[in-house]
Amino acid sequence: MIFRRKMRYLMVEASESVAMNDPKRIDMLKRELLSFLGELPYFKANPQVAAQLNDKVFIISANRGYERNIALGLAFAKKLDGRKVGFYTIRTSGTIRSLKDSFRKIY
Amino acid sequence: MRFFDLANFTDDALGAFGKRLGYEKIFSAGKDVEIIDAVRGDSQKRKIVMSDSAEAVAKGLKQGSVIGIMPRSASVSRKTLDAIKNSEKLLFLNVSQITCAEGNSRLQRLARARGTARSAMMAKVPIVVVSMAEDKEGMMSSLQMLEVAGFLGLDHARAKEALNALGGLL
Repeated sequence: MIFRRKMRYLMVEASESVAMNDPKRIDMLKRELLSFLGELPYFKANPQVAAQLNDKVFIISANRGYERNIALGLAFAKKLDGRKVGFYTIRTSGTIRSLKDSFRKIY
Repeated sequence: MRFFDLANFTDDALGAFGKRLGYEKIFSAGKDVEIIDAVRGDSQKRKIVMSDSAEAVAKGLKQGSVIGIMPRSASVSRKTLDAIKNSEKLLFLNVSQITCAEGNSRLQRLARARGTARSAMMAKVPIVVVSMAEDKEGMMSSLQMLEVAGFLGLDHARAKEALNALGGLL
């Protein structure tokens, strides 16, 4: 029997360039989410940066059922690396491929 | 359903940006609607009274050009809510003063906003949830605004109505 985690992916746009392939930046964003959500909801959601599409747009993965918590947490995350940044959840989907297709259409 | 937002700044790029965020249109305070703390005279431009003073609110509710009341910080009394309902105006909830605050200040504002939203729903006052962002960083997508409205105590249907209500007025 193959155990597959059910994931949900969020396409997020930042208000300025964010290098989400930098582990330090990813750690900072996760800390922002952790401080808002709290430990138990954060670990249930398990947010991970899945892909960076351009300098402002990236994809976050979350366990299915908890993507709305991540979207809410991103609404309250207004700082990254000491700078004021806004994170906008543009779209959610069950696959990264469909988000990449949407990205090509929108941007 | 179409969603609308109100920002407290003006930017030429708000149109395309708003479409990406899921809004039909993002209105600008100062350009599409005036935010006033007291009614002086009566111009035709749409206004929102942003005040905690009961006197200013009562005076504003009598004006036809005033579309609603936005509490600045304090909670809204039952008497004010009844007056808003009777005059068929709207109660605006400013979200960016919660999301852009930090620490204990954010917790206090969140508790106050939840109380205001709850009282307004019990009094059957129509609610509009707006970001009133001071800059681009304070904005949120429509998806996030629905979640924040849910966080304030509105159910999903009411949250959608709260984001849709502004479109018919401006």
